[in-house]
Order: sequence, then C-alpha cells, then structure tokens
Amino acid sequence: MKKTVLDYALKVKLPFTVFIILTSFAITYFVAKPERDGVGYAPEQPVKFSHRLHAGDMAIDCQYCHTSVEKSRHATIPSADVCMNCHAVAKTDSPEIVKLTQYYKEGKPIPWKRIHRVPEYAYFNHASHVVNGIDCANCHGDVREMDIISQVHSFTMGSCLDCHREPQKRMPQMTGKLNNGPENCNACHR
Amino acid sequence: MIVKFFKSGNMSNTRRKFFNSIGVSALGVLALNVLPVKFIKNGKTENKANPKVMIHPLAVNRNLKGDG
Amino acid sequence: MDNNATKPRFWKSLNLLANKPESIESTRHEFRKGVTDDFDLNALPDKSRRKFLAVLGASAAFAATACTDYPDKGEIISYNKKPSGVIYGHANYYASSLNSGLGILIKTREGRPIKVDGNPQHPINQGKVDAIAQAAMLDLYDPGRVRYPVKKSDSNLLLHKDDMPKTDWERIDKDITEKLKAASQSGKEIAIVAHSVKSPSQEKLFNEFVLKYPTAKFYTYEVFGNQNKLNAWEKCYGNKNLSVIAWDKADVIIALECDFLGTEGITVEQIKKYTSRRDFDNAKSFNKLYTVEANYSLTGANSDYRLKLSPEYQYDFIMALINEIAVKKAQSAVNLDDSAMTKIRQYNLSDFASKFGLHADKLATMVDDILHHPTKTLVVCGNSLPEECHIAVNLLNEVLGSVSNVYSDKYEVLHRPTNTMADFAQLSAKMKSGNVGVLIHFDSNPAYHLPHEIGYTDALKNVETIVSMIHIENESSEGSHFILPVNHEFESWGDFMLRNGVLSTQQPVIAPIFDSRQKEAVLLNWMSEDYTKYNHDIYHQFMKAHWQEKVFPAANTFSSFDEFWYSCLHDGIFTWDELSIPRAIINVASISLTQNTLSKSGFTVILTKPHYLGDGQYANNGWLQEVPHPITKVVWDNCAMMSPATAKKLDVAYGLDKLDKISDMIDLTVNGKTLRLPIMPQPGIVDDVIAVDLGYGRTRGGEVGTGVGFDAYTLMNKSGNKIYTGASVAKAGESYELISSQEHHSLDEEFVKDFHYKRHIIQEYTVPFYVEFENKLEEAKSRLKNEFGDDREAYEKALKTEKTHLLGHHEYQSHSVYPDKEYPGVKWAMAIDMNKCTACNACVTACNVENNIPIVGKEECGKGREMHWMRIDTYFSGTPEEPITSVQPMLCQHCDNAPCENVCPVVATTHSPEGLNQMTYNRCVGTRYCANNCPYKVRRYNFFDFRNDFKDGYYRMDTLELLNNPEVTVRSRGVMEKCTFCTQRIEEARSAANIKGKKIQGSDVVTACQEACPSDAIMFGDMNDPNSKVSKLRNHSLGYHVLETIMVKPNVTYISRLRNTNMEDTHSGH
Repeated sequence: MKKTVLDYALKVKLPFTVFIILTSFAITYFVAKPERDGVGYAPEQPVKFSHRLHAGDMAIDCQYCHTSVEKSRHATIPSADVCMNCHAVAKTDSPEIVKLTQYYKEGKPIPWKRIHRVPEYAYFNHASHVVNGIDCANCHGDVREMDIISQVHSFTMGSCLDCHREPQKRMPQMTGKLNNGPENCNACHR
Repeated sequence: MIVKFFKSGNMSNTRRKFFNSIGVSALGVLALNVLPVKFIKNGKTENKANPKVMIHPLAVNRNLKGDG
Repeated sequence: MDNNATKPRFWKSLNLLANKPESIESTRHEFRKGVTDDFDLNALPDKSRRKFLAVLGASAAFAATACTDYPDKGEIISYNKKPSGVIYGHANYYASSLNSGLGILIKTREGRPIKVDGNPQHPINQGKVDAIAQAAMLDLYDPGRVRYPVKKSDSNLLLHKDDMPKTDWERIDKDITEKLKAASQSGKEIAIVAHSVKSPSQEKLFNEFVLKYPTAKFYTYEVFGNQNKLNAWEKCYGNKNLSVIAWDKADVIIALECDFLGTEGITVEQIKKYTSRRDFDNAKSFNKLYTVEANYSLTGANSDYRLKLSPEYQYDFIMALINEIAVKKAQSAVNLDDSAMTKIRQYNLSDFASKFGLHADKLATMVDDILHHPTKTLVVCGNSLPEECHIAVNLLNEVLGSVSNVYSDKYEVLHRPTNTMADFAQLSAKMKSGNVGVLIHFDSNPAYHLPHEIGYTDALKNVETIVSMIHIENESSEGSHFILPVNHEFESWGDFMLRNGVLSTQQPVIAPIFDSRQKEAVLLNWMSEDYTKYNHDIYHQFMKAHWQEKVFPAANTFSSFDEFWYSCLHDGIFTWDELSIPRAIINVASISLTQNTLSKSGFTVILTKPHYLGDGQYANNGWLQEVPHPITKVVWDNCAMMSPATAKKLDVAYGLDKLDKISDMIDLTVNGKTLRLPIMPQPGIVDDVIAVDLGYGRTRGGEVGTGVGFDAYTLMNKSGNKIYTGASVAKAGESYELISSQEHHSLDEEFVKDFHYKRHIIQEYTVPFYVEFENKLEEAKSRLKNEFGDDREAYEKALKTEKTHLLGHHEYQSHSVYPDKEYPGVKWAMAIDMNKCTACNACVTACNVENNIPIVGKEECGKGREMHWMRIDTYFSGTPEEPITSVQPMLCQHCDNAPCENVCPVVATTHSPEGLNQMTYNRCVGTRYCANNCPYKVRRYNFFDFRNDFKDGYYRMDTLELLNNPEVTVRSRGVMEKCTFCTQRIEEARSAANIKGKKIQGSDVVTACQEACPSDAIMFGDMNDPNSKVSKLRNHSLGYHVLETIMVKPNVTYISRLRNTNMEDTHSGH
C-alpha cells in the first residue's frame, strides 16, 4: 500500500499531539493542584511555634489565643502579649522564646506566614460558623497533631459550597443541628 | 518516520523559530513551577510604607462601660 | 382630580425644554459624544501583526515566569501589644465634635477612623451631619497635609513646602518664643488671625495669651458669619443673645434670600425641624414655605411658593409687608410709635407688587396665610442681606406676635465677637507700616478670604515674622517664615458651646499621624516658662482644669470630677439647665428704620456660599468637588449663574450648539475688579442678577484643589459684603468646558414626549387634594365594607381600584413573563419619602465614604463616568422663568425581575433569596451589558483603575489607603458596580443576630444613606414584616415605583410629594 499523507497524519502526528496535550494537562493539573486548593502548604514560621505542644500536649483551648473567632469575622493570630502571658516566665532560655521576647521588647509585630487564606473578595465569617457549633478541626484539620502548621483541607469555593450544600456529609455528628449554609453570592462576596 | 516528523520541510525558518520559542518558554514556565526558584519579592511588611496608626491612649470608647 | 386639568410638562434641562434637536439627539445615545468613536486606523503605529504576536507571546512567557512562589499567601501581622477594647473586625465608636461644634460619632476600625456620623445625643444635630462632615474624613488622610514643621529663610520664602528641609519643634519653639518676647518688649503688635471662637476653653486660652504678651491682639473672622443679623439684633433688643429659631413651631415660613435648607446656618438641624412638619400622615398640619429671593437656591427649589425679587428691593418689600399687616389690617402685636408708623406708611404692598412684577396671586396667598396664622409665622432674613433688612424683619416678627412661638428659649453664645472688616483694614495698615512684629495664622487663610482691597497679601511682605499654623498649605502660608502642622479635628482635644446649656466635647481618636501638634497646645507652650517641657497633654490638662472650675459645679449627679469627665467624653455632650434669660422687649423707638443701602443699577452680583466647599477650605477634597451642585449640577467648577433671558441678552450660551458642555465666558466687573468666568443659565433666577459661588479658584489649595474654578473673592470690596450692585457684564469671547451632570442619565425620550409625566417618574399632589382624597377614601372604605362584607380579598381589590381612581390614575394590566418568586423570610426594600427629601446630598456623600467610591476627576465626569452609586436627579416643570423643581434620589432598585441579571454572560450579578440584587466583582469581565439593560441607569463601570489614574496615583499614597472601609471590596479596572443596599451592614447584622442565636430582622439594618439623611426620608427594612415602616409605606396610597409599567418590579418605593399649594394653581404632576 502506498503511504499517503493522511495515513501519516493519522498514524503518527495525531496520536503524538494528543499524547502531548494529555500529558501536559495532567502534569499541570497535578503540579498546580496545591496552588488551586492550597493543601499541603507548610512554610517556615519566624518563630517555631508548635501547635502539637501547646494545643495538643498542654490542651490549651483554641480560643484562648484565637480570641475573636466567636465574636467577629476574623479568627486572627494572637498578639505577642498573649504569648508573653506565659512566656515571660516559662522556658525563657529556649532560643525560640528568646526570639519571641526580642520581638515583644522591640515593639515589632511578628511576621507570621499565613497558611489559610481565602481571597480578598470573599469575606469569610468565622463567628457564624463557630457559634453554630462547627469545630475548628473541620476545616483546619487536626491542628493538635501538627508541629508545623499546614493546610490540610482544600479552600476552594467548591469545597466551601460542598459543605454548605450537604453539611451532614462533612460533619456527620452535626446531623439535625445544622441547617444548610447560604448559597447566594452575597453571603461571602460583597 | 520520526525523522520525517521533525523535518516538516515547508515551514519557514522564522516561523519555526517563533513557535519553538513559545514552546521552550512554556516548558520553562512548567519547570519553574516545580523547581524552587524565586524572582520577585512578594508583599512583605518591610516593603510597604507604614504610616503610624495608633489609637489615642486617652480616647474614651463609647462601647466600654465604666471608666475607659 | 380633574383629568382635564393641564398636566405639567417635565423637563430636565433648558435645551430639552426648547426641543433643541442636538439635545434630543444626545438623549438617544447612552454615551457622551466622542466616547464611542471609532479608531482611526491610519493613526495607529506601524507594527506588523507578526511582530505584535511575537512580542505578545514572549511577554506572556516572561510574565508567567514571575508567577513563582504562588503558594505564598503573604503574611499575617497581628498586634505586638493589643490595645484593650479592640476586637478585630468590630468597629469602635467614639463621641467627639467637629470644629463647627456639631456632635459626631467616629467609627473606627482597628484604630483607624473610617466614617463620621452624627451623635444621637447631641441636642443640636441629633444624630445627623451634613455632606461636608461626611466627606471630611478624607481630610484626615489627605496626602497634601503638612507633615512636619518647616522653617523658611528669607531667600526661599516662596518655595513649596516639599522642598523645605525638616525642622524640629524644639527649634521652632525656641525661635518663635524669642520673637514673641522681642515683639512684646519693643511694643510691636503680635497679631493672631483665627476663625470665630466657639470654644470656651479656647477663649480662656486667648485671654491668658494676651495676659502673657500684652501686645498680642486676636483677630477673628468668619466669611459666612451672621454679622449683619447680630448687629441688627443688638440694635433691636439691646443684647447679643441671638435667639435660636424653632423651625418646627412655624406654620408659615417666609425666607427672604435665606437658603436655610442649603447653605445657611446649621442646615442639618434646620432640615430636620422643617421636614418634621411635612409628614404626609399628618397632612393637615403641613407647614408652608414661601421664598422671596433672587438666586435659585435649594430652599427656593423646595418651597411651596416662590417669588422672585432682586435683593435691592427686599427692604422695601419687608416694609410694605409691615404696612400691609400693621396699617391696612391694623393688626400689630407690638406698640408702634408715631415715627415708626410714619415711616411704615410710606410703603404700599400692592404698588410694590405691580412695580416689581411680583406675582399678584402668590402674594395674595402669602398675605392671606400670614393673617390666618400670625403668631405662627416666621420671617427669616438671609445673612447676606444688609442690616436694615434684618432690623425690618425683627420688627415684622414682633408685629406678627410670633416671637414667643418661633424663637426658642435657647440663644447662640457669642464667646468673642468677630472683628469687622474695618479692624482688618487697620491690621493691614499696621502690618504695612511695620508695626506688627509677629503675625500668626491660627488655622486660617486670610490672604484668600479677606477682600483684596484691604491689601492683606501685600502687607504680609512687611511683617518680620509670619507663622502659619495650618493643616494643609494655603495662600496665606505662601510667604510665611514658619509653617507648623496642626492636628486634624479627629486628633484634637476641644470643647464647643454653640448655645447656652449645651457643651460638647471633642476628643482625639487617633494619635497624630504626622508630626503635628494641637494648635492650642502650641500657644500654651509659647506661654509657658520653659518651652522645652512640652508634652502632648498640656491642652488636655488646661481644658480639664477649666471644666473642673467652671463646668463641674453645674453637674449635680457625679461624685468625682474624673467620673464626670469620662462620662462627658463618653457621651460627647453635657447639657445643663440654665436659668433662661427672658427675651428682651423690642425697643421700637431706638431702631431707626433707615433707608435702603442698596440701590439697583446695572447688574447685581450675589456671592453665594458653595454647598460643599465651606469657605474654600475643602477645595482639596475630591469627594466634595465631585458632588454636583444640587441645582445646576455643576461639578469641579463654579460659574456665573444667570437667567436664560439675561444669557440671551448678553448673547452667551451653554452647550447649546456644542454638545461638549462648552460654556461661553463673561467678564464680570464689579467694584472695579473683573473676573472672567463661564456662565450657566439657571431657570428661576431674577433677570440681571448674577450669582457666583465663592471658595473656588484657589492658587494654593493642595494638589486637587488648586486651579479648580474661579476666585470670586477678588470681586469683594473692603466691606466684605456679599451683594453688590452696579456690576457690568461683557461677553468675553472665550469658551470653557463646564461639566454639569444634569443631562447625564437622561432616560430616552425618543418615542414619548413628556415621558417624565407619562411614565410616572415623578408623582406629586397638593396638600388640599390629599386631604380631600383621604376623606373620600374613608367614605369609600365604609361603602365597600357594606358591599363586600366578609369577603376580604374582594374588598381589598375593590379598595385598590377605588384608590387608583381617586388619585386620577389609570389601572394598567401588565403581566410578567417570569413566574412569581417566593421570598420567605426577610425581603429587603427601601422607601424614600419625597416630602422630606431636600436634595442636600448627605446620602450621596455618606454612600461614597461607606463604599470606597473613587473620585474620577473633571474629565471623566465630563464623559458621564462619575462613580456615585446614588444620585439625585432633578426634574423641572413650569417655565424657565418660574420653574418648579422635583428631585428624586435614584439608586439601584434591586428589581425582582432585574433586567441586568438576565444578560450577564458570566453570571456575575444574581438575585439573593432575600431580594437583593447581588454583584460579584471577581466574576465580572466588563461586558457592560447589564448597564445597558438597566432602565434606571444606576450601574457604574470602572473604566479605569481610578485609584491609579487620577493625578499621579493619588489614591495609592500611603495614607489614603487607610481611609477604605475594610468591609467593602475596593474595585479595580473593568468591574461593574452599583448600590448593594449596604450588604456589608446586612451581613454584619446577620452575624450579630446569629451570635445571639436569633434571626436577622429588618430593623437591625441601617443603610449608610438612611443613617445620613437629616430628615429621615429614607427608610429601609423588611417588607415581609407587616409591622415595619417600609411595608406600610410600600402599600400606602401615596407610594409608587418609578417606571412601574415595564414590570421589572423595583423594590424602592417613593412616597409622592405633597406641595402645600392650593388646588387651583396646582402644579402637581399626575
């Protein structure tokens, strides 16, 4: 049989192009997945604060430090004076505590690396969630086990909406106590 | 046959260069997304101007009860 | 209502009324001329497509390489030591005062003041502030503020402050204290020029300063003060206790050249009290407003009857009125002696009316009303009219016997009488002869404000030391040796006593952002023995000492002074009962009813107070420059307002043949000085009268304010008066681009003439008609009840038909193509009462501050791109000589069948289950189809990133970013925005209710516009709640929707305006 151009195109060029497209798509999808939903991000913090020690071993409640989570939209990182409540006397010679105390004395705020971030145009409200009985671990994962805090759940709009639409799936223990969350745009986007 | 694939003889030199440059830069971008190479400083606090904002220490807040 | 009565024709501008084909043509186009022009292909640069694509690809690749470290989510910075009382995300409120003495609540977020609203406890403004106060927040963060003290040497006096090296305060204190001592010892005067004193502590300070430096002399002035009124009062009553007017007690108000709803006096209080007598629920006790004026003011636009009279004849008019009452009808509550009677007899009202062409019917109605309510008639005289008019008005009020009703027992406290222009002329002479050693500008700008004839600016050159203690650089600081930055009113301590029995406090809510000091503290420091011992607290301590001595004794309920002090700071106000001083009896014999000081010749020039610039001090505030003048709708400029007939006579025009808003300029000559400025024909102004706003044309007004408008202060002569006769006008032959937003957003009238009437955009009735309507409705109700008995539904239906029929409307049957949607739960709606709206624009400015609305500048305003989410539309009816103004605040109607929601290709705008039309900025790609579809044209598009493109990135400066409301997204280029019914406040209220375990209620939410409106014309709430005010108004017979027939189902109800005119001369539009 004579080899026509069409034959050549179909047998070689077409599958090759399709293969390139598929692999590049797959690579980009998986390589860029952390960018899309943020899972697994665990940067180095200026002061090596361990949640496992404080929230896990010493069983300090989340809201002892993250105080405004029940009252306002923001959960916030505690200010340095909350740390100094204990660390003015506790373990003052540990190098991390020395760093902390220096920040405090100089009056400089500690530049923590932000882990959990919802884009600026979405106005997430912590108080509405916490007041209705949703535990911190539902979205932030088991922070009590984390030495270095990292993000474990996806923070895309899709995952927020999944929970809003079917809260029982994510939190089976809350069945009967929770209504569905709002689905309309203004609830988060202003 | 593979050789023939890469030897598509009808394209002009400049056009080929053009498409190749796009392809190479795309591959480069892909590579940069995997390898940890940093070019630009993100919005760190040291880079932003910070005008002094301080609540006046003697101001009496309307929300607080008792003496401020 | 007789359907055959002449229905008025509504028009939006003179050009549309005259049916100019160009104007009608322009309403067909959504965009201004030139905006949608095609590209000129030949003008494009010469690059081949191939090269372009190559550059595109390469730059995209390069840009992509910058997207590294994408997982980095930035940093989260919390406090180092969190101040107590701060909860992240919650606002804190502080009670304070403005420098004008009004009580405010400052809303702060994490220490940054972001919004100002009235203090509900303050008895004068009662929780409301005007548009200027709303926008004044920008002044705190103004990048043009002087940031550090500056000392200039003689050789570089005129250089700009940014080129000056920094000095520190200690050196300044040292230098100035030495100079003060030197001047004092050598007997040279130390002159301090300030604005009028409203603060008892400041007055005490001034007195002590004079004790320390005996040659010191304080000169206070107020450009728009009430000097004439005060002098007249003193002549009539022998004291300086100017009684405060009780506007709500008057049944008939006659305003003579007095714009009390717009620019004169404390407008918020006046608007509130005036509109409290215009409740449609209580139609029988409506008040009636007559205005007799030359300029078409906002009060004139709101009045029931308006008479046109040039200011030269006001005195004769008042005397003729007195004649009519006291002589003709022989009714006088006060004893008039013979000499007074002889003078009064010289005047005659009917002669006067026929001589000056006053509308005989209107005048007759006015006299009739006066005679029916003599003790409840209030006659007010505008501040710009000369003294003899005020004297005559005082006499008239006494003759009517209304003073005990319409004057309250509160009076205005005069801490220190302002100096006259003669005093300033003396000062100027002293300066010129070198007898003034030190001149201090105490947060004032006399080089700009004082009449140039006094020669103040020239005299400045001969003063040895000039110190300017100012907020932002101005004309007076141009030649100063020292420029000292002073604290903004939100950074200062103070107390204000405007009236007896009311003392309001001012506390700083933010530590001074820049290296500035409180101006009183600076003076105190110069008085102390050791100026190096300065600390920021000295004026605070001074004030406290004064309060402890003078004020605390009057408070009976506190055990300690500190408790009392904190309580006053918390409330922002301290009131006490003072023994009321009985009002003096008018001394008729002592007042000499002199002749008129004004006489008509040539043109008359009235220099008016601008609505939003104060005396020019707010020129650098872009928000205020961009709020349109309520009548002419001019932005970013002032102009010569004249009647259309005068304009025709002078052969000048505005935008007539050229649609690009080009205005002819005139050369206005008065007092030997000429000013060239553009004209604006304004219906309703008296012929041959020209009104010009002051406060513009600044040469050193900050980056934004310099060069905006034309300086009318140059026209004043050394008397400082605001009304001049004998002016001459000549066409200048030049033209100028004057931007007026009036013909913007005109609804298309292509196929329908008089569409404003036919489409029921404006609906108005008269009070007598409405009273009759209510009676007939009661009859109908009882009749229908008998007819339908228990059948509630049929009864309601028949009642509705009856209402429509009685109001003279036609019932229309219109069906929507969409199925009705259910809204269980809360459904938000708004109702605006047009009886109460005076078009003061406080709502517009409050919305701007609350929602981070950008300033777009003059050029973009000219293209119709101003970004106000809420605007006030003006419609005129009647004739250009006797226009009747109808205003309408227009905002997103949040339609149930929103035409904008269907057409968004990316579903960026949707409908919430609570009835709001939502806007999601991040989805918007900028198709602008939604704005195209909006029948109300309320959607605003960000054509540019206005924060970057206005005067070199003005917005991106360090301080202005602090001004933004953190709860509202800051929009960028390419995004559509519109009123959101303050959804951030709704969500905040919802969250607060959630925390308490409750559901959100309609009464929890107050929108920014609702909060700001001085007359409470705007009501917002849940229309599903039958008890809410909104739902009651929605179903009221006077309520209507704009453009109801197109079935978009808007959720903003307008309550028809009732004009208190007789049914025969009705100008109601329906």
